[in-house]
Amino acid sequence: MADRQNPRTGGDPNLTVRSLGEEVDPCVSLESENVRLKRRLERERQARAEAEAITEKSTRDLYARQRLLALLEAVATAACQCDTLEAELAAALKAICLHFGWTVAHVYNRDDEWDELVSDGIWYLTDKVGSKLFKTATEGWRFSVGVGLPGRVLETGKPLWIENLQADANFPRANEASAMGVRSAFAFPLLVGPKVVAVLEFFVSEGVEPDAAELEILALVGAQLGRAVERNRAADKLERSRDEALAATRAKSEFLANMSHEIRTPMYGIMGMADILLDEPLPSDQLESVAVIRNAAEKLLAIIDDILDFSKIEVGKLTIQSEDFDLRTVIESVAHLVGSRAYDKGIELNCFVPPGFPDQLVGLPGRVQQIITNLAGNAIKFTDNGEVFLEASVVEELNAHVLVKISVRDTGIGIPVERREAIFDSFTQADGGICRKYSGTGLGLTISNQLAGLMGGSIELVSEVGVGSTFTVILPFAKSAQLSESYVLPTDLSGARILVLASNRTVRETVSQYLAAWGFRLSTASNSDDAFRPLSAAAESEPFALALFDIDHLGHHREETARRIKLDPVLSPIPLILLDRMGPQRARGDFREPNFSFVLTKPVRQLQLYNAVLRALGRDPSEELSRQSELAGNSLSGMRILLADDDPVNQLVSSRILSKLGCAVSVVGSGPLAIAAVQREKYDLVLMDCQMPEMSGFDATSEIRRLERANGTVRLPIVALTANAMTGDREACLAAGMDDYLSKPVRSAQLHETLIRWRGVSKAAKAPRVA
Amino acid sequence: MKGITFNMLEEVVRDQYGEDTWDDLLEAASLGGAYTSLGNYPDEDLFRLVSVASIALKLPPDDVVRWFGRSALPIMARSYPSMFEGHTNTRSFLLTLNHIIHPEVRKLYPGADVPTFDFDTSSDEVIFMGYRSHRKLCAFAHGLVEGAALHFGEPLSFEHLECMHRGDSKCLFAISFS
Repeated sequence: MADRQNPRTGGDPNLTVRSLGEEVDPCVSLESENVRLKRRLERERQARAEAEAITEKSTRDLYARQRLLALLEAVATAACQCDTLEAELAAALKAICLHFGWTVAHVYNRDDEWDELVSDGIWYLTDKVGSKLFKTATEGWRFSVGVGLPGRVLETGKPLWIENLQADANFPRANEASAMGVRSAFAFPLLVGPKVVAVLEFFVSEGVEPDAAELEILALVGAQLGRAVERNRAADKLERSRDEALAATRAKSEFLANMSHEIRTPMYGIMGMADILLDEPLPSDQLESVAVIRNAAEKLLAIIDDILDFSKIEVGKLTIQSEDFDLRTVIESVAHLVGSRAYDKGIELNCFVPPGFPDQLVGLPGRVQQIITNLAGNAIKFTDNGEVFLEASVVEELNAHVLVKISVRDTGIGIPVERREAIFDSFTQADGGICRKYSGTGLGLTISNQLAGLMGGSIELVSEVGVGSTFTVILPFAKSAQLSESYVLPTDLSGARILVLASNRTVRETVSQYLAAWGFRLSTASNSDDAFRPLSAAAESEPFALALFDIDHLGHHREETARRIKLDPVLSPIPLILLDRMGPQRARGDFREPNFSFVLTKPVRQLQLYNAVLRALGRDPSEELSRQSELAGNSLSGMRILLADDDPVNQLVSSRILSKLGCAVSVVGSGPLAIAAVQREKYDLVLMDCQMPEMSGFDATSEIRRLERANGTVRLPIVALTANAMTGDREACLAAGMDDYLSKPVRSAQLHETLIRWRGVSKAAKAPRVA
Repeated sequence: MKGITFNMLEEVVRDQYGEDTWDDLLEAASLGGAYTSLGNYPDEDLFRLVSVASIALKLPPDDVVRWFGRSALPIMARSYPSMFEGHTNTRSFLLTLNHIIHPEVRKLYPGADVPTFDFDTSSDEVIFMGYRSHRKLCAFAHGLVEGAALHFGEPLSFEHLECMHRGDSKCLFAISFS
């Protein structure tokens, strides 16, 4: 049905309505023309009036629309500017009341548990006094679904207008509302989706029901505030969960602290007794068994310490309190402590802090020690052949600060590239499967890394699979006011010749560096044949003043070497220092002759080497080294110690260790007995258990200090002995008047070190009294 | 129906047949005839006017409506030149009906009940244009398309393939310009 037409020629239909009309009379025509014009005029008038009406209505609509937008804007602005949901709701109530001319407004919250509406306590009141009764009545109600104005809104989810509250059958607060002078009410829901989360109600003495446009805007307001309510609830919930989680973490760490306390006490017994047994002349198989017990206990304690530290770091409780310390001592004592484990495995362990190293620093010695112990422990764990070497060096030294590098190098299995990041994470070792072969919690590196970070430093790792790993800790320290000790030979011995025999290159080089720095002229040899040649050759020309033999790696040559030395007429008169490994498998047995009395255990430490060298040369190291004179002897012989501890096992263990160290020990079992004892007898030092029944170590110490002040007597060093290992213990001990702090289980070496330190103080303190 | 439609009808009748003819039509349809562009008036008014014109002209009502559409388009082009700007042919102009022209109409005349169109433009030669409106004024659309073709000076071929008046769900036009 194509309907083609040529647009250019297509004409219009021939529309002529009047074509049917006849001749028209001119008069009639004029009259009808008039009528026609009047009608047209009327039509125009009507059209204009209509147009004006439309314009007026549009203007009114526009105005109403503007006011509504202003209301919406006021509510939105309130949402942006108010910090709390309460303030936001209050601002919205006010904006709505001002818009509609309503005088009272109030917010209900939905109680999800009971599905009821309860007052939120948020009001807009133009007359606070007059509305008091109504407010009290409202806040006392809980509106169930369908009850009252809010209950009906809760039920339907729709706005509700009540024109006359007095006439409404379902408005329980009619009397109070009447007393307040309001007649009509309006309420609408705050919605999240279809769910009513809150209801706003409004009252007015005379008002009109909101119209459709207003309801539309109020619905927008309701949705907006509904979201705010929901957000607020979610935030509350989140906050509650966080508080609960934090409380749980706190509880966990407290539990760990308590557990650690409980475990430390028996560990003290196990480790102390094992230490004592290790020094007994037991058959070697029994010594080995004891060593196993000792090592196992130490490992267990390390794990407990790790867990404790980890939980402390986790809750941010680790305190950072710097103190003066000697980094050389820290590194050397770590090497000494972990050394036996290495030598038991048949690997070499050495440490080297160069002579002249700025070792007097301010920092956290305990934490530095922990990191190095951990790294050294790992190195030993993952190394089956070869050696572990701890070395300190200076990266950068400024006037008051020094950046120190402590590296722990091993010849172990190495760490593949892809695992190098992960091993610093909790509970991870280089390979999940490796756990089976190499035990451990995997916490150590995480803790070390966090500790280094806490101290402003870092840990770096260089590793090659099958060749070994080097962990390097870089830490910044302030220098302390103490001066580093520098060692030199007495002038008459300067340039003396010394022969060093050590098959291990690390041992040879580190020992040589110390000796050369002190002024010796060195000859070195890596095997016994090489060693005897220069000794004999030098016999005539320039004899050696001293020889130092590392007998550890002589193997089957060991006995032969011992025999050759004894029989050699040139060698036998030269003083000889023997370097031996630590632990039950030491080689010393073959050299139990009187002329080999200068025995040093590896790892070589600077002071011990210096003392041994001077003694072997017939000098008293204390004369050469006044500051160190008190430390020179390894014996504490004659030091009078009072041990106050209520636990019989601890009494036994501690007193045996002390006796071994050469101390004269008195034991008391309570605080009052300790106080009585120090009044009666003279002691050089008190070891005070903190937790004793009847009177705590803290109280006993305070009392001793009080008596000292009253009697004007010299301050007696008191060292706390406690199984508590949590933060703050040290502070509590010092606050009670104690001088130092040892946490159980105390290792023999630590106790020794502490006693030596305080023996010096005690003697110095006595001096003025004598004079 | 918006008053503007009646205003346009009045204008084309007056232009082509004189003022008296409009009076006569109103009288014949018994209508007061006070139409203001923004006002709303019964659809019935338009149909009555078409009906009396159809009798007077002895033409089918659809032809009257189609003539109205064809004649109204130049008025639209004069009143709303912006809607025609940028178009050089009928096709591109028609394709803006749904998304430009009618939205503009709704802005100027809130509540305007405009028809909906759909377009099948898969062919370069023919546009298939669907029309839906409860008023079933497909003839008006036809007239407007004719007016547009005249406006752009293009020959038009218009086939009314389906029609709501014949029971189809919508009207379908095949429109080409050669």
